[in-house]
Amino acid sequence: MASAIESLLFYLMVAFVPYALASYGIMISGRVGLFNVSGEGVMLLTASAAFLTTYKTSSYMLGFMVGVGLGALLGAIFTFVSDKLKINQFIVGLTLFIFATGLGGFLYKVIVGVVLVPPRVQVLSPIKIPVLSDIPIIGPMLFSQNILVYITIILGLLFHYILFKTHFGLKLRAVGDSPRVADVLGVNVGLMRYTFGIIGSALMGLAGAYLPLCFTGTFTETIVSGRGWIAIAITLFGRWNPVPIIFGSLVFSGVEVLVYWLQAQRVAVPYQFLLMLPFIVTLLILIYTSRRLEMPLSIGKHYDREAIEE
Amino acid sequence: MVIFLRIELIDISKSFGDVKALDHVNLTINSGEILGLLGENGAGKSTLMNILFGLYRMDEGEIRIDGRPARISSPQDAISKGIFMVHQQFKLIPTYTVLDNLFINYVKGMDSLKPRRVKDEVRIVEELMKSLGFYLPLDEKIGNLPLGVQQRVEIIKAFLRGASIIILDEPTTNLTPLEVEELFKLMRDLKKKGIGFVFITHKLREVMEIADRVAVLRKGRLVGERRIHETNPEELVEMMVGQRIENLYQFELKPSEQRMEPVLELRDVVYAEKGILKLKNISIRVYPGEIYGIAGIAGNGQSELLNIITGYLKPSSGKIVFEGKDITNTPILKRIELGIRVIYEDRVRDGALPSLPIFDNSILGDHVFPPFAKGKILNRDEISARAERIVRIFKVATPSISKIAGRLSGGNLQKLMVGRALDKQPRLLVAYTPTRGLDVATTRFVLEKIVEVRNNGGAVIYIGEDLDELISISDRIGVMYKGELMGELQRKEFSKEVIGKMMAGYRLAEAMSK
Repeated sequence: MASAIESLLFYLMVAFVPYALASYGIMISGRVGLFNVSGEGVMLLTASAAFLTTYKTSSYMLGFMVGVGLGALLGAIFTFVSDKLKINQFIVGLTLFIFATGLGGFLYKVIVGVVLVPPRVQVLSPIKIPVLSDIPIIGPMLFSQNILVYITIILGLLFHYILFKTHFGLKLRAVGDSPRVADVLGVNVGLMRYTFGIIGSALMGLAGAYLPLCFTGTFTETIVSGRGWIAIAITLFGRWNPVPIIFGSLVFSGVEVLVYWLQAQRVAVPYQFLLMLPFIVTLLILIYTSRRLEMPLSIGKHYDREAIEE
Repeated sequence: MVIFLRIELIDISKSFGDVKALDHVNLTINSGEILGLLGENGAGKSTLMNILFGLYRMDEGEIRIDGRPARISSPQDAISKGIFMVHQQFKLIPTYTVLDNLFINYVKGMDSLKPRRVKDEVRIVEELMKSLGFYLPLDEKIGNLPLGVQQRVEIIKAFLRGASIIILDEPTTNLTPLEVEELFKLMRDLKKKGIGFVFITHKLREVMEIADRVAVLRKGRLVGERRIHETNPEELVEMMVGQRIENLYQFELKPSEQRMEPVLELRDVVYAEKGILKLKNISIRVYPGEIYGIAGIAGNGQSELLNIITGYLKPSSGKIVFEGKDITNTPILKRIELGIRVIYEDRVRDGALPSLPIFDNSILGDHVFPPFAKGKILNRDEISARAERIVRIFKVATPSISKIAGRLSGGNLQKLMVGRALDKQPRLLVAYTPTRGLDVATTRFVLEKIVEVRNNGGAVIYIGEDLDELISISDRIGVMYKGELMGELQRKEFSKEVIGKMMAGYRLAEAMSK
């Protein structure tokens, strides 16, 4: 029994990473005023590209770099099209989602083709932290994980520190809440938007690359299975703050692990219903929190210095 | 401490699309001096200063600082050269504290990644406030502070960044007369310390009171420059408007007849929104042939009052009586049919349908009544006739009545709105700052038309922000503060000082005795 709990908690953290990374990406873009909803597509494309890279070269580093790089590229396109060409951010995000989803599946089919046994890579092996990893239950959960789990937790705390404890964070938040105020005080609004539009999407790319390389070891077209959308919900009810996003991500990875566990227990419920569980949880939490939702004040809006206000 | 600056703007030109906003303007600005920049709305005052502040790019021209050409292509450049601009709409984030607003982009480079030292920041600001002689609650969120206090946050912001020249764009717009006095005192103190001000305004009296020198812009051109003791208000109006306007604020108010039954009576009207009281026991009677002025700083319940009268909002309690009939629950259209006409606060948001042509806009509200509607069908001939009439009488500059209303200039759209409300003599007219953004000549014209409604026996509620206007046309004035009526004054009792105090929250008796 103890080992079952240990293993569930271990997988809780493994499943936690893609939710958290994608949510950070949405959060940090939103904090400079960009609402990027392309995450689901970005993750599928980067999952496919990262898997193929690592499969062909056996290099995890290269796989992650391709994932992050493609994410960054899509982020640059997103920021350019929405900020420079002044096209509605949701339309740009949805277009990129469709494009990236199609491209991700296509790449895999071109390179691997249709095969009976899908190719696999070994998932990235855990790094055991001496002494700490021997603690029962939380040892395997927190101190015997792949490197991305550590990075994700540290990244969340780092974001919290930067956003709320430094002058840089004040400036960053100001860009998302009122680009005009920031501009008038000498902030380079365009530079901030490009920087964090790109970083945000790169984080989604990292989340995508994580799925085949650290989680499933293989690529299927359903590999992302809604995590990109759920990340938007996590960001919303995490009120665009890193620490609540960590907890929100844990809730969803918890639901995910619960679904696996229930399936393994052979519960007499069709598995399709179990797979609906994360979305039902999203719905319930969103209904509960929707009245108190907070957003960066100028999210989704174009900023034009010479435009007349109001 | 303050560095002396001499800024020369040379031959500055700027166009927005086809509109020439500035046409070869020359101007000199010095620290230690208050320069009034006077002109009507759209004369180019703010545009010129936004160019100096780096927000707008000029098409032609040059800026020199202390004789040397200076490149100012962003606010960052302007701030680093000692220039700061306080816009009419303050550049503050309402959900942030005063302290956070002050320090946005204050620390730059790698240092900005170090932990903030909030205690040091508080100390710096407190010393600054001490030297300026006022105090701000640094932990309070901006949104909870009155506009007068927010303005001081802006001024501290300028100081914190070492400004020698501070540009104030229409700084008195949302201030009570008391706050205006305090602002002027602060400006004089700072001038002694060597700070220079550019005071952008269209209010003559304020320029005469505070400026050392005045420059007048009209339609993008510099009309002239005067030392303040070498000029007078009449000359400045003429420079500003381009023609002599006699008796700007004198109107012929026909003596009203015997007090009859009131046209409109509000009895103890209370209105609460989300548990917050917006109107507290308002009781007002307005008689035929009377203009009832409502004074107060915007946001003290005036909009709610207007919407209660139109029927857009339902009072939480209390009664509305129109010509003896209770209309508390009467729907909007029915009230229009009774003869209640409105000139809305925001012509684009509430008054017009900007994407429809002038003729459709000219019958909004009347569109279901004959002769404009025959049953469910619109009568195009009658509609065109009305639109043509309004365009003619109210001098709406347009090539045709088919032009889309949203493409009219602000002044012309406003004339259309006024014309629509007045085309048929209203029983009751409710007008909310109908002269906002209009030039002097049009303002005069609109006020004359409103006085005409009164002289023809209509009742008028005039919600205004400009005291000169209110005093010139009102028979009585009620002052609103935080949703409450602080008292009513008869025409012979009108005094700006008393009204000013009431706008700041004193009741009539208190305001009179102090």
